[in-house]
Amino acid sequence: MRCSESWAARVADIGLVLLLSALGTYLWRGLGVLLSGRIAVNGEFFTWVTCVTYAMIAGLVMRIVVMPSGLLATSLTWHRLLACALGLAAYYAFRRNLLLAVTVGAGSLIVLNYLR
Amino acid sequence: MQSAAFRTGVRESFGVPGGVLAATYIGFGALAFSGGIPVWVVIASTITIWALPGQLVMVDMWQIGAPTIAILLAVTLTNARFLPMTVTVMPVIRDRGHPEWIYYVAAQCVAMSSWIICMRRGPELPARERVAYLGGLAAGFIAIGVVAAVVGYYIAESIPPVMQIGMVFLAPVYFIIFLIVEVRTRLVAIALACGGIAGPLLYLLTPQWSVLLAGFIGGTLAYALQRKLGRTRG
Repeated sequence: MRCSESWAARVADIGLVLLLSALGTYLWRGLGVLLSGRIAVNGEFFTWVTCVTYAMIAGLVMRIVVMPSGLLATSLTWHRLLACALGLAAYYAFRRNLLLAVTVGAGSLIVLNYLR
Repeated sequence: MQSAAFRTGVRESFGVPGGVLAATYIGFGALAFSGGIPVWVVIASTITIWALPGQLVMVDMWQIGAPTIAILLAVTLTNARFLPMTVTVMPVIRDRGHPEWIYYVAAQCVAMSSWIICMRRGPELPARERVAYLGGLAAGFIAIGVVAAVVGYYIAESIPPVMQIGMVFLAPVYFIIFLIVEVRTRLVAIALACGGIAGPLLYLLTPQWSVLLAGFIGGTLAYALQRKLGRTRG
């Protein structure tokens, strides 16, 4: 944790992280304009990029569900997994409504955790 | 004419996709609050990064004290999808009547929500108006995202932990469901499985580098597996 640092140091630190993250993100968007019409996007490199992107997001959210930090860590792992399953079930049960599915998922974690 | 197209874009952002976006950004705001992130970072990241997975990666890694270079690499790599997305949306929105710099501004509007809609709706509009339409769409979505994130942040601050836990869970549960139901190809399925297993395992080894490594190792493994499977099949 970075709690021990001073307020100003924290602001400077996250400000730098934010600036670099924003630039790193814009890099791809700007390059996309520059390279449009000149590169094929269905090549091997982009296939690999797709894999890395999906794997990274899946890795992060699975870790948050299985080994959370902070407040989520006070709930039970099987409750979080069950809540995900209920959300998924709601998605298919109610005409593929993602908004409803997410609400059911988050709502059932509140209920499961409360009933404990 | 241009401003009419912009307004059409703004109007169309307030639909079902806008609702889902609001729910996820409410969750992001709550998650950021519980992670001790200042509210200005929540607002600024929504405008400047404008990509929820990248924002989640940034907030999560910063919270556990990951090195700046690891955060930069992980966020940059998760957002690499914007290159092919921008490349494919450009022929849709490009028109000779506009100066080139317009497209470098429009590129910031490229995110999953606006990209999907623009790819579908764009060809139905006159070529000249499409950039303005995309701009309006993104402006609406970004406004929804910023407002929702701030609302989520302050709601999380004011409700008891019993309720807060559900709000913090909104963004993760959204991605779990979205990723599972959006699997269209075997490649994506393998990549999700590899990353989903690698993420928690690598977290045990090296929390600070786990997100970056899970993407890199899990993704490369998935890519190699797909090639191998493709070969045995074909």
